[in-house]
Amino acid sequence: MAKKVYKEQMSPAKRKSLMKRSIPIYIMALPGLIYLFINNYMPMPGIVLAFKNYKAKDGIYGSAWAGLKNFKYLFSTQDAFVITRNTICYNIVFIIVNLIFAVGVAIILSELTTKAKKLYQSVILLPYLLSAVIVSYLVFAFLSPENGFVNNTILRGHDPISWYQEKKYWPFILVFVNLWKGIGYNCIIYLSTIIGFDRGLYEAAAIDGATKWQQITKITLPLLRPTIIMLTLMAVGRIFYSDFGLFYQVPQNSGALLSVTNTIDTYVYRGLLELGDITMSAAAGVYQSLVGFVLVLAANLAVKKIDPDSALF
Amino acid sequence: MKRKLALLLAGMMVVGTLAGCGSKGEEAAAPAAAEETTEAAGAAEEVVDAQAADDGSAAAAAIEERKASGNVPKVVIAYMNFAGTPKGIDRISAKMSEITEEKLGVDVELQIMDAASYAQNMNLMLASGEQVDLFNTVSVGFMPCVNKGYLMDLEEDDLLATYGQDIIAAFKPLELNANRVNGTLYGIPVKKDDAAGQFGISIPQSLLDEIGYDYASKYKSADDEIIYTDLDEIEGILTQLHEAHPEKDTFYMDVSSVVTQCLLIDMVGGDAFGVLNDPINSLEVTDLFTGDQYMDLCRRMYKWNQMGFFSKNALTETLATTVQVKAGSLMAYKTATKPGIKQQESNLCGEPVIIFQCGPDFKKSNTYNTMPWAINQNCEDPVAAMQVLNLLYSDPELATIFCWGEEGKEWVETEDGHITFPEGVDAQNSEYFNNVNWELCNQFIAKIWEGEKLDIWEKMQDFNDNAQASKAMGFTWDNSDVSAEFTALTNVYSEYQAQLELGFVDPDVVVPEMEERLKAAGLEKYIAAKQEALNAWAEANGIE
Repeated sequence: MAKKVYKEQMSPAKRKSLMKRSIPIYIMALPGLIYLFINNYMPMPGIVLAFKNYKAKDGIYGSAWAGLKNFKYLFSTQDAFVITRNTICYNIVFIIVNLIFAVGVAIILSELTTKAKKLYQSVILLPYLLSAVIVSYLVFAFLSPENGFVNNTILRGHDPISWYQEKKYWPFILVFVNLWKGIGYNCIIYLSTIIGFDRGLYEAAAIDGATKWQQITKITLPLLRPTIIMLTLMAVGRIFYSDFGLFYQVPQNSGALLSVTNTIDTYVYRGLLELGDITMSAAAGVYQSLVGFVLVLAANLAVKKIDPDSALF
Repeated sequence: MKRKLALLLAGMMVVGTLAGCGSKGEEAAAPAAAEETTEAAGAAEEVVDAQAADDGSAAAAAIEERKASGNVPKVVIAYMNFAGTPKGIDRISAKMSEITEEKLGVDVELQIMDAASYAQNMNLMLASGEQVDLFNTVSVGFMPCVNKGYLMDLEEDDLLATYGQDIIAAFKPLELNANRVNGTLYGIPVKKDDAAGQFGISIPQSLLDEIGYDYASKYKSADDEIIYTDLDEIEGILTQLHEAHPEKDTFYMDVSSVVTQCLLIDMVGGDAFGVLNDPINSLEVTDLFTGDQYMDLCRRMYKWNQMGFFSKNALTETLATTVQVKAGSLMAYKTATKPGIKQQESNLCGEPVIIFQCGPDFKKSNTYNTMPWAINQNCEDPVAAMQVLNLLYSDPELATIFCWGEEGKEWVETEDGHITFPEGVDAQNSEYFNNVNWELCNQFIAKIWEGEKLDIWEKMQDFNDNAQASKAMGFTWDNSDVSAEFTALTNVYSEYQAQLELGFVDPDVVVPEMEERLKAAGLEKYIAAKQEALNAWAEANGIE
C-alpha cells in the first residue's frame, strides 16, 4: 500500500526518469524471464492433458474429454495414503533438519576468519554437485550386505545387516543422505545474507561486552529471520514434490523397501514405466501443483498473521 | 562502462537462450517437401485404384509413378540396439538406399537408439509428429502404442494385400493375426525364435571339467547342443561347484524374467496377475502365486539360498549375468534356450559354456506380438513405407546390409558361405555391429555369421513348429479399464518379487502375506476382467 501512495505523489517527469534508470535492470532480468516463460508458462496448456483421453491421431486438443478418470488412479488405491504420507513426512523432516543445520553451518562459516574458509565451503558444497546415481553407489559402498564398509568394520563380529531388505533403518538413512548432500547449497544463501549484515552492530555489541553466543542469538538470528521465513515458505510450497534421485536411486530401487521409500514422484514414475500413460502423469503433475499452490498461499497467510513484514506477498 | 558491460552480457544471454530454439526454421521447410511426396503418393493411389484387379501390377505401378515423378520420398526406419547409434549409420543408410532407390524409388534413413532411451525417444517422436515411418515396437510396447493411437491400420485401403505380398507369404495367418487388436492389424512380427526352452541353465565348461562332471555323455544325440535334465541334477552340480569355489557366487538369475523363463505358465495379457497355470490345455485364468509351479520354484530358491548359492548382494544386483561370469564372480545362471543358444551364451561369457534345460520348449500367447514392426499413424507416404517393409522381409541383399552392414567394411564372406569380420575389424571397432538381428524384420534370409551352423534357420523353424503352444496364442489385452488395479498390484508384487524369487524369504510364510495384500489391491477383480476378455477373444476366434 505504502508504495502505491508514494508513486501517485510523484511527478510524471520523476516517474519517467525512474523508469529510464530501471531499464538496464529489466534487461538484465530478461534472460531469466524468457527462460521462465519458455520453460514454465509455454507448457501450461498441456495441463489439459490431465482431463483428456489422449489419442495421438486426434492430437492433444482433439482427444475426447475423460473427466476426472485420470485422477482416479492416484486415489483409488491404498497406496495413495502411503505415498502421500511418505512425501509429506519426509519433506517436513527435511525442512526442519536442513534449516537447523544450514543456519548453523552458515553461522559457523561466517565466524571463521582463517584462509581455509573457502576450502571448507567448497568441500561442504561438493556433494550437492554429485549426481544421485553416484551418491547411490557411495551409499552402497557403505551398506552393501556383503562387501559394505559398515558390515565389515563397525558391525564386524556381529550379525551382518541386510540393509536393502530392512525397512526400519531407511527413514534415518534418507534424512542423513539428504542432509549431507544438500547442506552446502542450503547454507549458501544464509551465509551470503549474514556476510551482508552491518559489521558495526557486532562491533558495538562486542564493546558492550556481548559474548559470541549473545551476538548470534541477539543479532544474527533476528536479522536472518526474513530470509529463513522466505526460504522455508518456498520449501513448504514444494512439500508435495520429492527428490526423485534420493528416493529411487539411493535405495537401489529395492522392492523390499517400497513402503518407506515410495513417494508421489517415484510412484508416478513406476506407474509410467508399466503403463506408459502420459495423461496419468499429467494428472499427478496437476495434483501436485494445485496442492503446492494452496500450501504456499496458506503458509504465506499464516506468516502474514504472525509477522506481516516477512510475508512474500 | 560497467552498465554497458552489463547490457552486453544480458544481450548475449538473451541470444543464448533463443539459440536453443534455433533449428525451428529448418524444420518448417521439411513438411512442405513431405506434402509434395504425399501428392505424388496420392496420384499413385489413383493409379492403384484403376488397376485394383491386379495387385502385383498395382505395386509396380506405384513404383513407376514414383520414379516418373522425379521425387524420391524418404522413409525413416527406427530400431533399438544396446550400444547406441553406430558410427556407420549414415553409410549404411546410403547403402540401403542404393537398393531401395533402384527397386522402389525410395530412400531410407536409419534411426538407431540404445535400449535405455529408445522407449522414451520413440514416445516423444511419435507424440510430437517428428518423421519416423517404420519402427520396431520393442520396449515402447505394442499394446501401449495401439492404445495411444500411434499405429496405422496396415490393412487400410488394402495396404498390406497390395504392397506387402511378400510379408504375407513369409508368415502363417496365425502369426499375422496375433497382431490384430479388435480385428485391426497393427503390426508385422519379426522372424525369430518364437518358442523358448524353459528353465535353461548355463555353466562354463571349464568349471564342469574342474569338478569332474561328465557332460559329454549326457547329450541325447551327438548333434545336440542342450542337455535335457531336471532341477535335482542341477542342484547336485551347483552343490559341487559351491564346495569347489565358496568365494564365488554359485547361482543368479535376472529377477524380471524368472516367471517368464522358468515356468510352464502363460502370463496372458502381459502381466503376472492372472495367468494360465496350464496353458497347453486350459484357458482358465488363475492366480499365479498360489499355483503349485510358483510355490515350488520359490521353495527351491529358498533352499538354494539357504545352501549359500546366492550372493548376499543379489537383491540389488544390476550387472548382466553373463558379465558376472566373464568377470569370474558367478558360476551358473538361468537363460531361455533356443537353437544357437550355446554359441550365443559362449560369446557373451567369453568362454565355452554347457547348456542344460529343465523345462519344455514353449510358445507363449504373446510370442508374435511382443515386438512387431509398425507404421506410424502420421506417416506421409504409407505406400512407400509398406513397400520398404516388404523389401526388408524379402530381399536377402537388403536384409544382410540391415542386419550386418556393408560388405568389405563390416563383413567379408568366408569360403564355406559364412560371413565374418574383415582384417583389422572386430566387435569393438566395427562401425555397424548391432547384434540385434532378432529385431530386424527377417534375419532368416540374411547371411549367417561364422560360428553359427549354416542350417540354423531350418533348425529354428523346426524348433518353432514343434514347441508346445499356449492355447491363448495371439490373445492381446487392453487393461486400461483396470489400470488403477494394475498399478496397485504391481506395487505390491514389486515389494516381494525379488525376495521371493531369489529365495531370500520363506515362501510358506511370505506368499500368504503377499496374497492378502494383492487381494486388497484388487487381484480378484483384475483376474475376472482378464478372464472375461480372454473368453470373448476365444469365442471370436472359435477356440474352445
